[in-house]
Amino acid sequence: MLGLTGFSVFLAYLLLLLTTAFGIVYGIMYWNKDGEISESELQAEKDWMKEEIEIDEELIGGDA
Amino acid sequence: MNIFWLMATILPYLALVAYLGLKGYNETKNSADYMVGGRNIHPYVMAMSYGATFISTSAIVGFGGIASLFGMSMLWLPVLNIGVGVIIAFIFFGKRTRKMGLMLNAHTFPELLSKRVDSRFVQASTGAVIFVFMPLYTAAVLIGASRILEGLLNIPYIYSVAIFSVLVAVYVIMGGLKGVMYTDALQGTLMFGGMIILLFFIYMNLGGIVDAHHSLSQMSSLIPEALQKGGIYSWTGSAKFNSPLWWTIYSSIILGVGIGVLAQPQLVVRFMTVKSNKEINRAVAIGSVFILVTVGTSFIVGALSNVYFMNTTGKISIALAGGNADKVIPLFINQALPGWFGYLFMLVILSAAMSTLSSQYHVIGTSIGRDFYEKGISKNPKKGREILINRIGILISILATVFLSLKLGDGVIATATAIFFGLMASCYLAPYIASLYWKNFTKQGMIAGIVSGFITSIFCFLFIHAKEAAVFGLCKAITGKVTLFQGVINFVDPMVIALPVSVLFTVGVTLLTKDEKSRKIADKLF
Repeated sequence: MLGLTGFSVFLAYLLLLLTTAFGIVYGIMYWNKDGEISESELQAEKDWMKEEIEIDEELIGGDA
Repeated sequence: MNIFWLMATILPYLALVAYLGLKGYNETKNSADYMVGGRNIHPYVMAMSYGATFISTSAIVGFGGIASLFGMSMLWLPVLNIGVGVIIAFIFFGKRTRKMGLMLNAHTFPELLSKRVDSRFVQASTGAVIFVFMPLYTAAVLIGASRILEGLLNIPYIYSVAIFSVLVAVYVIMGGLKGVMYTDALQGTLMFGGMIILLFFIYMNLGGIVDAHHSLSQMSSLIPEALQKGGIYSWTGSAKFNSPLWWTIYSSIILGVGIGVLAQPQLVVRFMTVKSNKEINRAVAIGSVFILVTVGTSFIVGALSNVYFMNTTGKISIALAGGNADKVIPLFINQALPGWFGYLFMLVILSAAMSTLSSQYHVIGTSIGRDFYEKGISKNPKKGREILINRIGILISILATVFLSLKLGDGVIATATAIFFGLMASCYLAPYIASLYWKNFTKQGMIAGIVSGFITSIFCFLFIHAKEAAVFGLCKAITGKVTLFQGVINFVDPMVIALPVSVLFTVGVTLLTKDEKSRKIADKLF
């Protein structure tokens, strides 16, 4: 099987391709789904991002 | 390799990275509205940036080198990397983590856990664990990058560590602590392209897929005696069931890293910055292909390098590498591939190292400044002091990374990575899953899960798992024996014992306790 001696390695090789194929199919099937977010979620995201920027400034930009 | 041409390749790359980083920074500086509003990021850019953070030099150099010893059974790891690290992580963990992060206004992994059950102890202790243990993983990444530079330039290892440390420090100072999407995307593209060339090269050079595997199958008699005694009799078959190396391969490397990825703080944080679930859906597709090409290639090349070196030098890879598995991939790049590919691969390695190290240092900085100090132990945190602690924390962790890179010895990249991944999973995977999916999850249950996982892991490292117990020597000092028990249990990864203990305590204590506050938080979330 593909020049491999052990079945478990052949199985790993096969599953490697199958899991990738599953990932591709899932991604394509849901490519445009779940894109909408509510107003409250958008506001929560804005608040979250403001604090995230502050954290980054403290790490790399602000004055100690 | 010519140092002039190497510099002529690296410097424009660094300039491009700096330009993209600065561009991204200027566009988004102090503008939450812009960052939230900018939803039309191309899925390719997004997926490549994911990949660049996921895959480090540890995976390419360290685990690739280990594959030259253990053979192609290592391919079970990318199966888990895709099946667990991408498909399960993105679909079942990513979407809920994103929602929970936003609703709780959590910005770090410790904060996500602590706000779910309202516990300062959880945030402070998790921050401390990350700060203390993550340098093991950052050192693994730095060693991987330095081994490549050492191999390509033929310079002493200590110089290559010094060069890479300076490069990373410059990158960090330039503001690359948190990967900017376009910088990450450039790095991901380089990694993807470089690894795909490598995959084609090895199979074409060895006569195609089946012939290459067949040649490796024929080399069973050349497997070193120490490996055969450990249970490996074929490089294209599995190790003997229940043998010491069977346990090392499947429990430490494949399960430890394959499952451990679910509780990695720098990856959990990524889910919080995703704009919508649509992006997660798309990333499942592109991320799967990315892991297949990058991790799959490094393991296939690592194992098949034995065939190449046997054909060209009459020796197997580990013999040529002087017994150091971390040197196998650098040796292969240097000797087997055309000179121009060496320069390209240097960029691949720089990309893999920088993108991962930057996110690691970001996590380390926030874990000590925000999680441990500001939100954890301090009752009245002061801004100036927090910033100072952040920076001192990052400086200490960079120094610890360099120190460990020089002191950890040969063939340690995969081990150091597996220890950190396993520890994080043992302590935090059960509480993390319960946080996402169990409405009645209690504060006591979370603390019991974390503490039991941590104590069991440390106990196993000191008294049961032979590799670490021998290094620390505590068991020998107390009992006169290197490990408490003898036999195959000395090779079972601590995570295999500690994770079930943590699950037991997480579930058991939650069932025995009531926590109205946590229940109310859950009701708001889901």
